[in-house]
Amino acid sequence: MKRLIPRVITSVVGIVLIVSAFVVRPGDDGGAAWPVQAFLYVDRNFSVWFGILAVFAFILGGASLLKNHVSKVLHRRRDWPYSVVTLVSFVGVLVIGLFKLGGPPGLQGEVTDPGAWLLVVFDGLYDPLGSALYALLAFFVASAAYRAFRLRSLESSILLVSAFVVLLGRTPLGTWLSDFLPRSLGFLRIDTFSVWIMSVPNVAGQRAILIGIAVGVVALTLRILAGRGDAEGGRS
Amino acid sequence: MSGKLHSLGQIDRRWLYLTLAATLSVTLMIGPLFPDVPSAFTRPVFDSIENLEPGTPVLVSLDYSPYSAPDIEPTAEAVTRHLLLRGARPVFVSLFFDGNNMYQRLRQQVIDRDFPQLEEGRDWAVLGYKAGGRMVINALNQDLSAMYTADLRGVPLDSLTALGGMRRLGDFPLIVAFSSGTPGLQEWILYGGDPTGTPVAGGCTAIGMPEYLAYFPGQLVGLLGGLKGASEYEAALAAGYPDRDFPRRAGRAMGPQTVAHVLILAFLVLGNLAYLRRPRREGRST
Amino acid sequence: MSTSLEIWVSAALTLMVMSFLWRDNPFYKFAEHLFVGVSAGYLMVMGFWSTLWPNAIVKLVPTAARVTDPTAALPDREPLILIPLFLGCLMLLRLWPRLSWLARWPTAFAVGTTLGYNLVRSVRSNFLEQIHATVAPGLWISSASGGVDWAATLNQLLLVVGTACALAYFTYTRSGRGFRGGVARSGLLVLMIAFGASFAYAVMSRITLLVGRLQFLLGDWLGLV
Repeated sequence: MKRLIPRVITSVVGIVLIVSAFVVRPGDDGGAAWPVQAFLYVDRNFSVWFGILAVFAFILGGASLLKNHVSKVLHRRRDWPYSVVTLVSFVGVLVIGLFKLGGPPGLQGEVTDPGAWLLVVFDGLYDPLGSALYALLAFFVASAAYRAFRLRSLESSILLVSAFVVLLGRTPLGTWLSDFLPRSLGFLRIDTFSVWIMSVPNVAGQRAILIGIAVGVVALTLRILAGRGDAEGGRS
Repeated sequence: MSGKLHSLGQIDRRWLYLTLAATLSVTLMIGPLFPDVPSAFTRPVFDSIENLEPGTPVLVSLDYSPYSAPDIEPTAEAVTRHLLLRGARPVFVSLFFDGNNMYQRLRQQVIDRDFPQLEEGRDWAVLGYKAGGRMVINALNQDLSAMYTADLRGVPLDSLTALGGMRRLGDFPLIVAFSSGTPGLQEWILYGGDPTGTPVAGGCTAIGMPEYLAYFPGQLVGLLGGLKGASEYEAALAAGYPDRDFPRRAGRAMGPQTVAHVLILAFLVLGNLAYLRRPRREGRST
Repeated sequence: MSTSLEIWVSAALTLMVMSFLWRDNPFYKFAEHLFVGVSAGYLMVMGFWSTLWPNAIVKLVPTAARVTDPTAALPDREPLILIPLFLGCLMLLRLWPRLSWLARWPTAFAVGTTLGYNLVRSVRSNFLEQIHATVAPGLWISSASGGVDWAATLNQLLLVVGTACALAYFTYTRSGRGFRGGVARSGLLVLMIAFGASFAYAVMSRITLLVGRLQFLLGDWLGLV
């Protein structure tokens, strides 16, 4: 039973939604037979319900975070003082946001209205921390360019040359370096060549990947809807 | 010479970090502004907005967070300016949970600064963020009111003149999505543009450009990729509206960007020279 | 130099994160844990006020609309909204090991919804439309003057062949020599060019983010730019 019910839910919901994609929508003023109305209702409302479930997933994530860090603090595990930082900031932001502190009086208005404390949290804490963490990646990419991208084989050499031309082509230096070429050899200009790489081989590769993924999606969907997968993620 | 080149390969990574930070800082302080022209990917977006009738509602999705803002926010600013200049009415939504905050920043930097005479609800509308990613788009396909009953201020949809009678996604003549990942531009194409036939124009972070180009020109009107795309759009806007003096945020950041590209290329070359000149006994691994 | 406390706090946090480039240290750990707490709280708050409140609670208890807007018109009650709320509560049971098996039900609903919606859209946009976009222009591209545009024709041919070869690589990855192997190997080279372009754009993207942070430090904080 523990496995059967989730599989039935997945299959029924999935198949109903696939069928609903083929139901012809009536016009603004046109009525429709009840089966059509039923499919349209499902198609419209399952999306809304999914959004509500997504918020419960956020709540589950927050609760899980709380549980883990409280346990870490209570048992004085390694680096537990940092868990206090996480807990205080998490609960603090929750209180500020859920009670809409600052901004319009009481619970009125938008939680991100000017004056709301959540806006200060966003600008003063969330934005700089997140932006700095992402900015770190620039240093790692630079390091990777220096230490990892090697002319080791034909494939890696082609990858490197492609990256080199595209990078150079997106700068004025690329234009300047190939300015000497006559008009008849314009296709050899670095900036033109870079656009060509993006428009032809890159698009060919990306399209193949998209088509491959689409085929994979079909196979995976049919497998799961037939009840032959463990998509609900549980092995208890 | 060979030994010197080889020793370059042993350099501490922190020297690379310092070189990158110092180079970018110096270039930022010098502040060079390189000329830019719209590419074949950028021009169609500009033209499609230029051809909009005044008063047309356009759905604008702000699907990015502050982390990726330097790469996509200048695009959102330039395109929003263009929409408002043309008299179009942007209707802002978001699939990212930070979208409402990104809207507040966009409002400060574009609407309040350059278009103080415009009025929220009449000249633009903000429906804001909803959780659910691609499912939000799917619900909007059927009915805007499935997800939204009011705008961010609590004004019911029926009272928003900026919506101009739009009831569902397919009623909009254009969707413009600014995307830094998933959910984003790809979802707007799969769940919004393709099923409804509404043209989708896109702005994305540079990292998404190679993938999204697969949808251009059939499923995407045009694509503004990263800071370069924004810089090209700013240049097109400056050429199209010479009497207005808008900030060139992306254009100014392209100076350090260009220098950084050259530096990374130098790293690639030096790293490979060191690799090719390594003593044979070290083998092929790095 | 800025006199705003918010800017100083932001700058200090930025430097704490950047200190990781030297080595892992307590300042970085502090910033990292602060970020986890702030972002988790922020995510929950936005989810609650943007979606759970208006799309679930207000639809179940219409008078709740007056909490955030005393003049709001009351919407119709939608009792069926209890279904996702019930499923959502089941999802939270994941935290109690004895009842965690019930959390599979909402997961099953989410998986079924995603698959059901995605199948048709994915086949249409990523399969049919991509094939159409690749072959529809034909192999002979006409120029404005009515003749053959040889450059465009060659590019179109390369696009079709490149896509086919890359697809062949996915199918015949293990083929060694011979025609199949040759085609698959050509496909691999096409993919390598695409990955090279992706790497270049990844570099651009990451550099832009660093430029943004440096603009903040040198401009908003120190006032040098």
